[in-house]
Amino acid sequence: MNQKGLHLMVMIFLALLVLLILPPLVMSMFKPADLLMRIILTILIFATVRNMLGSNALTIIITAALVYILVIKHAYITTSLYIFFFVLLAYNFVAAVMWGLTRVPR
Amino acid sequence: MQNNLKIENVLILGKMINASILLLIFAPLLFTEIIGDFMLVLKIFALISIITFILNHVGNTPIAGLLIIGVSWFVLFDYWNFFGGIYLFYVLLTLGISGMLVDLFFISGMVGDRNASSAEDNSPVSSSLDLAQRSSRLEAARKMHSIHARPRGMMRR
Repeated sequence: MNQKGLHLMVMIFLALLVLLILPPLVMSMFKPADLLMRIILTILIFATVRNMLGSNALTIIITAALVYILVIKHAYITTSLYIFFFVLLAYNFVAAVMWGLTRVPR
Repeated sequence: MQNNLKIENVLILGKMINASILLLIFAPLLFTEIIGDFMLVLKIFALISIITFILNHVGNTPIAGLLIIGVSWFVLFDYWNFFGGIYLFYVLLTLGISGMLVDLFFISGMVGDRNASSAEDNSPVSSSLDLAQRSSRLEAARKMHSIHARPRGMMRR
């Protein structure tokens, strides 16, 4: 890898770091965004567990445990990971960011 | 007045130093707690995956219950250091991390290579999609070349 490639790689890592930090920052600045993200995460967790286990008591117990850890205790980390993996990576926005960084004149 | 300001500044500085020392002491504890919590979440998801897999393949029978208990014990407690890494890798692959890595290494490896012949080849490959388009263009050009080359031989006969 040459010098330009290394420089670009550092730029890409910085851009991904900014993308990771942005959702918690928005959540801490705007309380409605915080509430909305917590509701979305709760619904997502419940839907995922119900899809895998079906509608029974075990689903409620596991959902409660996961919601406590992911939504109540570590909401910022979970939101950051959710936005990065389920929104940006799933819809290929990360590839667009990388492509955009190659077009930035240096 | 100036002395008061100096004393206040010193007090603020002292508070900042105290806070940073406390942060340095408690940061490892904070991180170990976060890692422990996320390890628990990973174990819960692995348990759900095991239950779903066995119920889908064996059905809702007493054997399924025994299998769930046995496999869960084996995976979650006995060899978690091994299966935890594999499960995390599987989850990341499912979420599409491999496409990101391909993009990252193609781009960083090909930037700055300006010795190609045409102006189009001079631009760096920006993504896996770009690479696929270039390959298909090259393939189409080869096909066109073979189509144009064939009739000439036929006419000569």
